[in-house]
Amino acid sequence: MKPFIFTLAMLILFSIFLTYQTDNNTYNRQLEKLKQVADECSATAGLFYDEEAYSTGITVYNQEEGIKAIKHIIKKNLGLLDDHTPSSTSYWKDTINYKTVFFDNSNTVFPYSYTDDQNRFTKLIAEPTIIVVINVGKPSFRLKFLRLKDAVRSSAYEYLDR
Amino acid sequence: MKDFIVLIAVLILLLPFPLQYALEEYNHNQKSEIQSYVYTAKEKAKQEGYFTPEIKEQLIENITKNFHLKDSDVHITTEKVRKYRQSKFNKDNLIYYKIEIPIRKIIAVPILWGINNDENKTMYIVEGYAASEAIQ
Repeated sequence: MKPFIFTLAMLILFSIFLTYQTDNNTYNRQLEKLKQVADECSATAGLFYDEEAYSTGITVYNQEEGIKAIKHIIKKNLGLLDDHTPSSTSYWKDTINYKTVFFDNSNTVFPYSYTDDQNRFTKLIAEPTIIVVINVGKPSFRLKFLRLKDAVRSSAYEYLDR
Repeated sequence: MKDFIVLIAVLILLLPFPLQYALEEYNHNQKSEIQSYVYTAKEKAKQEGYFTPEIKEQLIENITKNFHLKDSDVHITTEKVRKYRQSKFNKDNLIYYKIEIPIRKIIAVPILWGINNDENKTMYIVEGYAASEAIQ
């Protein structure tokens, strides 16, 4: 009788370990991918600027095109539908929110100290910069007793003047 | 004797779990590294405008040198046309890439669950869209 109870307890414990290991590994890979998507967004938004102003040494970002680009890149790379809800093939289950901030010569006096509105980071901005923050909501873990936090990744793209 | 039989039965039931932990870590490590190599290749491709043969070769070399994979196992789907950066965003002007590699073993002891070896494989896919930074 004792070995039976012991084996049953070990089975349950091992299964919990295995479920957590698989879910956590997948979550870490998806977080890494989210960071890469944030990097891609901020880099792509940095491609659209006023060329005439740039030739005089002033960087002014084309925010309309930048935001269009970011929206499309997030949608395509994370597998979302048009209203930013995940499709059935996506890992994430909540609605995706993102925030973009543009710092350029038309709206900032450098250096400027920027604090994220949820106090997650502070950045000293000395050059024209684009900051993209993506919040994808809670990850999907099978163990229901875990208390999960929202997954947020951010990226900043800077133009360094040399 | 009875204890011995009980021990064998318990071992058969419980031993696959640590083996599964090890296999899961191996697969996770493989997938993470490949995700990282594809990211590097994608950054290079952004500068060139498309995935040049050199970039693809370097990517395949990175993937096969650490894991037991052959060059022919890695499938890269991408376009051969160079894309250039434009002043207005055009969603048809993005570089698309898709890299597939086989995962040879998902479950460590498939016989215990009645799975045969052919069903125990899958393809790991990394795909995405990137904007080109190549100047005309």
